[in-house]
Amino acid sequence: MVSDRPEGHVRDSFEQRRRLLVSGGATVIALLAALTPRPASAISWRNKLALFRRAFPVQPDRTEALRMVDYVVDGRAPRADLVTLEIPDLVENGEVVPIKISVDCAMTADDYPQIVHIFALDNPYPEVARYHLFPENGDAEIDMRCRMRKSSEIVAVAEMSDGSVGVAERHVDVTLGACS
Amino acid sequence: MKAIRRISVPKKVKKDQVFTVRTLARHKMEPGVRFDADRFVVTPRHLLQEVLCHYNGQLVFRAEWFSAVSANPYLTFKVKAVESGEIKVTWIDDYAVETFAAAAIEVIDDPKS
Repeated sequence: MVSDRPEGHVRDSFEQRRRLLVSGGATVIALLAALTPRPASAISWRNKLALFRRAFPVQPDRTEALRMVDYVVDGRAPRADLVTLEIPDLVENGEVVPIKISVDCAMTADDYPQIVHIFALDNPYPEVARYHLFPENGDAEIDMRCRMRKSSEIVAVAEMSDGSVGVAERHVDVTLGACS
Repeated sequence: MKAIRRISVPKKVKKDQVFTVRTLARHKMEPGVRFDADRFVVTPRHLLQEVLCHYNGQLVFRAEWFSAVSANPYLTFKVKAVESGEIKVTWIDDYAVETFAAAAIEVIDDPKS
């Protein structure tokens, strides 16, 4: 009777049994591993958050930055020659980019820049600073240092007290970008 | 690291003269995106958010800063001289901790000018 069967059949059945045993054993071991209480994870929730932020960092978004500028300008036609930006064309260190903004106005109660916005378009957080000025300033001139991730435009928007708007844009080449 | 807040204004100015206030703060201005490989964490954000300048108690300048302001932030702006008194610059950080620096200024009424 045994000789009637093909030889491979016996070997196959052995193989099947062996496989079943191995896979069953593996399942039992996996179940045991899942059920046994493990010691508190070495990675705390804060490190998990860090891992998350490392895996999904905020990326610079140029269209979003331009939308922020458009939101501030709000469809108003910018006045010509109002805002001047003084930045060196080539900056070696993106951590320290010297920016000088001056607004050419009379600084009286009805002609002064209420808010001066500064945007760096290729930064993950494009807004750099917001300056609130008053007629007591006498002269709208601000000097500051900012960070830039890579070569991009810096946009300054001045919102005047009479509702008009001045825009200045300047491209800056950055050799070594900053983390910002 | 010791916190340094420094301002510099001219000691004597004429009336209605526009003078420069130069300010410097020693601060890391941590943007909260840097990954510290040694401690395996993202360094938590710590910024100076706001700078206020009061001239004899009146607000004359206000700045809102975001993460793209460089470390050890330097800032200058102009103020018009009205009367002798005090220029006080206040820095407010993420945890609403206020630090300030103040300087006295003397305004000379020059009849010739």
